[in-house]
Amino acid sequence: MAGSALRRLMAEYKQLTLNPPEGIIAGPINEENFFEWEALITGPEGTCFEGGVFPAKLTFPPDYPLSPPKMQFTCDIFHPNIYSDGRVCISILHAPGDDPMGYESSAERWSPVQSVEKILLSVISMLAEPNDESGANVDAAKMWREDRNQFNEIAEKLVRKTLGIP
Amino acid sequence: MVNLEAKHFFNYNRFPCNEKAVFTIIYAPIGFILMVLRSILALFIVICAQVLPESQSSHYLVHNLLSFCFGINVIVENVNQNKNSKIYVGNYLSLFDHLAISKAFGFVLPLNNTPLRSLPGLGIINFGSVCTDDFKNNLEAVKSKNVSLYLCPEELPTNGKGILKFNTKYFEFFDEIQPICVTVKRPLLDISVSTISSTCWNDIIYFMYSPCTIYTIKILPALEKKNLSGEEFASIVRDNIATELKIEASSLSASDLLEWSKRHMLEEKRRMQERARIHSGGSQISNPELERMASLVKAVFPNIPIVAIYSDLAITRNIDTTITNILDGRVRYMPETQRSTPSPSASQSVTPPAMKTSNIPASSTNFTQFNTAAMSFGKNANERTKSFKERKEQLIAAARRRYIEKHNLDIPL
Repeated sequence: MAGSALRRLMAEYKQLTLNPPEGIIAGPINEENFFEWEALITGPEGTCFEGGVFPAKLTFPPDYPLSPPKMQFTCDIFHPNIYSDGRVCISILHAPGDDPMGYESSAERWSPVQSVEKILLSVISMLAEPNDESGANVDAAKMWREDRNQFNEIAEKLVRKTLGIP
Repeated sequence: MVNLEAKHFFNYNRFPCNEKAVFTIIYAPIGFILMVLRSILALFIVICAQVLPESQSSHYLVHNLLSFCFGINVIVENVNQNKNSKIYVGNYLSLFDHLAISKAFGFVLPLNNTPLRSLPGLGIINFGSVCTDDFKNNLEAVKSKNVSLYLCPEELPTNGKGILKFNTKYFEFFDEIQPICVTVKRPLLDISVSTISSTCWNDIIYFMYSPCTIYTIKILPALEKKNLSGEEFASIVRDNIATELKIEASSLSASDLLEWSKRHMLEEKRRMQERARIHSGGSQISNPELERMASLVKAVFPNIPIVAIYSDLAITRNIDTTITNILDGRVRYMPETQRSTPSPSASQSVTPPAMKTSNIPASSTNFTQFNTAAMSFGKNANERTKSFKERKEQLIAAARRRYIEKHNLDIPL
């Protein structure tokens, strides 16, 4: 199946190169290994992450698209649904039945009809609207609920950091 | 001894698939004529039975004649063991086991369901379910008339590979039982008595079509219940029959088998429909290799109908090419709604991403709106990686510029 995984990844790469959604770039870091991608995601407008360009690493399994890829931000990020080491906790990255946190609906799960583009769009909407029931980053979830101003300040700092602005 | 599963208790083919198949073809016209003659005779007998007096001897005569019509021959072993008990208990093999028993031991009344039950004039009565009072009353009435009974406590005919769990309720009512072992075969042609998909009418027709059906009945020593419970008694009877027949006493019951066969038939039906759909889709004749490849592609694109995948595979003969064709939107299909996995997200995306936007021209090197599209997709890895890097840098630079402009920062762009 590695052959069809490569085919599919190549097709998705082509698609994302020619017709990417706004503010998104994704592709293999080095084509020698097609299963390791880098993605840049622009923080959605009107949110505390507005304007930031967040880099993340996507790791695809050999049986992609039957199994979902893994996604991890490589920059500093503070968000209720992202672990402090950058791993993204979102339902589209989990196959049905595999539910580490136990509260995800079976909707929006990984299936082979999903795609890198869908994952990245889901992550953008996750940046805009955190699911504060998820405890991937408890501190962030708590702050998001209780002290939105401080959360926004931290987010602002992170945005500046990704842009190289002091 | 092998552990029998539900699937082992059924026959799947009416006719043998071995060298005897030739005989079957040669025999067909003879069988057909035999069937017609026998059914006319059977009809005649059933009509005559209506005018005969209601007595055991006339019923015995009618049953014997019907056995003749159905080509039933009986071989009895261990006749000296027969104590002329009032209740025979045997393993269940066919619709007409009781006719064979009648033929061997004089008129017996089947306690189990039989297709002859609905015919008046044969002396067969409906006992009803074993748990009901009706059953008890009917049984008392019959016992007082001194009629022999035949019971198949398995309650479901099998192919005789094993013996099912007994319904132990029956054993509450009897103190002495004559166990018998029944085997059935059709010599020469090996036509199955029953198959998993057959109805009772099919089976009757094949009784008449086959040259003859030979029942071998082996009488086992009579057993007395003494002070055993019904359940214990049942298990002793069952073990005796199973040992004598050298078959496994299975832990499955009739309801397990019914359940399994129902599921099996549904599965079979679904498979037939799928195959019919593939054929009506104008594809080629079924090809296991193509079907295997189609199922792999189907695993990647659950929402794309198998027919569409199949017809593309028939052209490409290559999984990867077909996957690319689907992603590039070269495969036309009506999206399929998914029922098996409850995933609304999957139904939103009936078209793979490549198809949605592929007709929008990829242009724009304008980065002010965060558009990151490339002019073209490079022909080789170097070109693509270079373009990828450039676009990343451009995106970050554009975002930075925007941020600085928006916040009126005093930093060089």
